[in-house]
Amino acid sequence: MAEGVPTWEEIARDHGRFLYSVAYRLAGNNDDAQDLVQESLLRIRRGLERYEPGSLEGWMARIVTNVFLDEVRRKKRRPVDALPDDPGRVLPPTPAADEVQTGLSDEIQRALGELPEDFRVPVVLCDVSDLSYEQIAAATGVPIGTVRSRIHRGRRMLRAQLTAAGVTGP
Amino acid sequence: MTDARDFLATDMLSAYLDGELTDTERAEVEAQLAESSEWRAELDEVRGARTMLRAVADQDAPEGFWDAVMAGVVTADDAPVEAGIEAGVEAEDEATAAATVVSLDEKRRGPGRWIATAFAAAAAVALAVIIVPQRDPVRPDVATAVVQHGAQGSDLGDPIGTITPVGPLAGFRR
Repeated sequence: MAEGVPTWEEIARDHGRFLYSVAYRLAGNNDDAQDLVQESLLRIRRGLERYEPGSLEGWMARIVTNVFLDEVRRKKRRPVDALPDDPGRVLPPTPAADEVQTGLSDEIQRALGELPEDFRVPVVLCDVSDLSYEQIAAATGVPIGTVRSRIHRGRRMLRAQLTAAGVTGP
Repeated sequence: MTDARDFLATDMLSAYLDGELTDTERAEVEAQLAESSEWRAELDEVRGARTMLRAVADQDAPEGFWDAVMAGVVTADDAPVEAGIEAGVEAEDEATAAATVVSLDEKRRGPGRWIATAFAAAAAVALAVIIVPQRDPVRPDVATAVVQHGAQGSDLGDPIGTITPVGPLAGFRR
């Protein structure tokens, strides 16, 4: 491994808060964030041999994003759609008691969850991961002009959701 | 007369807030903001969302989160299926993909559940290797055909001339 490249344990220790924040905002809850972080750390461990020292958080954010988008694609390939003859399955899931939370963070999380992934991912990478548009374009594989447009539209959607929920400011 | 600013898109406003515009673009946006109350309102709108999200960007993981994650990674580190994954072996067929897919919709079953899934994938591959060669046996049975032909060709001392032409074996699939 190249000199100066941290181990995956050091990454977990020193950048765990960053990893968790991005994963939590993308996934929407702690359980899924845990899966996301765990799989991301596995990929980080496997990728460290090829990692060249640079923007470590940009690299980690790209990995977390890829894990998240892989999962989104798998869901789309095998949608767990409600069966027409099973009306109970069309009901939205009821959050468990320990998932019912209050506060701005949770209002924002709910609003983020309403955004389609195409908009949620660039907004999270911009405002939670603090990546540049160029880094977001690299992480998501879309042109930088599309990144710009999606961040703007995503923020407008987010604001509309928050306003509808009665949240007007921090 | 058409002003160059007529072609400005409001999505430049987020890029403006993020410092992602060139000097020329920034000057154009600021000129537009000075003139247009609609642009100012939209700037306030996206600035509010941006400010709120950034205010809560850093999130502490709940207690026990990292213990579970680290245990899961270490366990996966020791799993034999890992070697296959690292060598670029990826499951493409439906059966194996179904075994490896991990849905975030599933409720938690503890830190080792991905590992269990990986073992399931390995088992599916091993099972396929064992089963596939047995799925399409030769008809008729090769051992029986060899015994029959051998008996015809050796009992009368002229193994070639006395062989009765048998033609293609009945039911033999080309």
